Amino acid sequence: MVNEILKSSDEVSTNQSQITITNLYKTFERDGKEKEVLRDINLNFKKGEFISLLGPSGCGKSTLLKLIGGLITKSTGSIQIDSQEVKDPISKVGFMFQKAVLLPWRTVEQNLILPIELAKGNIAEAKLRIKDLLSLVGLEGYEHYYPNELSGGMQQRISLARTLMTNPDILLLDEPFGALDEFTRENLNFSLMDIAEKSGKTVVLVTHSISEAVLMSDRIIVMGINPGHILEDMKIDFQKPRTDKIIATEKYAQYMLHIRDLLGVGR
Amino acid sequence: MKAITTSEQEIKIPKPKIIRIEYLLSLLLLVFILVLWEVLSRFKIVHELILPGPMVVIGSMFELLAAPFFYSNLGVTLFETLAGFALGSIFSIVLALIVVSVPILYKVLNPFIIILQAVPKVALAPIFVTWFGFGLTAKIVMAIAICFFPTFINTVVGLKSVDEDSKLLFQSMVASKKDLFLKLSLPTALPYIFAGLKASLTFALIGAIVGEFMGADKGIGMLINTFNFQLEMDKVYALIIILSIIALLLYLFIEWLDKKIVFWTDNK
Repeated sequence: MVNEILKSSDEVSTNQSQITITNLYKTFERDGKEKEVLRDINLNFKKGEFISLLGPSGCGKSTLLKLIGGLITKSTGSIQIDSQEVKDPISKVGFMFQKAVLLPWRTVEQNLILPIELAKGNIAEAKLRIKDLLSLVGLEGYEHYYPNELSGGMQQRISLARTLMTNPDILLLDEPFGALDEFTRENLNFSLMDIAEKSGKTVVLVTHSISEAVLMSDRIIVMGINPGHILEDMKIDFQKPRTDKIIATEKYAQYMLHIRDLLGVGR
Repeated sequence: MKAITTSEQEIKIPKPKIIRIEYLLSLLLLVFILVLWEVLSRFKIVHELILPGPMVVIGSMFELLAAPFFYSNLGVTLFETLAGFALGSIFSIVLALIVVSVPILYKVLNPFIIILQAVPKVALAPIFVTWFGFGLTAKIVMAIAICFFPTFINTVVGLKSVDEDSKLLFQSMVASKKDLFLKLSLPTALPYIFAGLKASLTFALIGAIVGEFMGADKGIGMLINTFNFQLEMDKVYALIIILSIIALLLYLFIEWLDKKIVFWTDNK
């Protein structure tokens, strides 16, 4: 079913770089002072890769994600998606935030329609997708509920479904489940992995949980602070589909220890 | 694919309403006040010219309600109030929209807004009479002046209260400026706008009455003035009670409208 509703729009070869970041710098101006938040970022993300941007607060991982999504403008350097320089938000990119930001005056169905409305898309056609998307995120039959009738976890599921409404090639997720309790969060992480694996979408996830990053990602970009820079670009080599059994492996422990070492956590 | 099961699918249940003892005590207090009032008046502890008893006042109220002249005067006051309210609300909302969408205008006008807000609007009544005479216009302008700010300030605050996350979301979904306004800013501001409207509707009535006090040949304010001069205090009290009931009804109407339109703030 995932393949049907979320199939890729074009068949780009899997080895081709989809997101290309070269010599990227970002400085913010605050109270007349310039503050460098990202220094010399160089990255290539392939189509279908699951990438985590991991690092402590202030390492610029969220800023990097917003730059990729065209929500803020870079200082110097280049960000390209499918060989197009990113200047503004584009429709092949779907964003998801830590807060569900559902509109309280709209039902679940109307919230899901919103991205289609804003993109002046075909609403009647989009409505046919709603049922499938709701069952994909495990909330079948909730079309006519209002957001404030749903729990935090359910709201985040709706938020995920809304991001998938336009069937974007790339999902940019800014700590999407960060505000939820650990059980709900784990649950949603597995939902997300499932969707990502089966749809072949490129996922860039911002997180500050080392275990979450190791469990979910094909690659982890470990970032440091002052200014934000890349410490290491790690490949995480586990078979898919991933299960929590990998937590018990030697390799998992080694990845965890290595990242903790990089970030200077523990003793 | 199989549906993903969720562990957090509980639905929030609204709490059942309980009739509280406070309501009963409020009612008892009301009865006590009425009895005390009647006693004070009936046994001439307070002179009946100053404080006619509730029974007398209620009698006068029905007398007034049966008189045709009452309704023509009420109509004038209601017209002034509602016209002032409608015009004042439209002005304030439109001006708030303009001011918020042009940031420079907001910065330039802000000091003036703060100063004008501080002016006791009632003190302007004599000026309005000088400008517009003793007709309806002066009263409507008075009502507009007094009910402008609550809605204006609330609309500005409401439009500015759109949170950054929602703005980012709309931006990420490539929303047009028009959609951003119609589908995000305006609905976000609606609860604030209604809070302003609720306050300003009763303010508009105050404006109309004060305007009539300055000089009028029709209206409830004029009637109060006249009866006051004739020392028919029972009728003055009766009119004040009727005005209060009208103000309450207007308020309840706006509140009903608020609940209908801004339904989503209800069960939070």
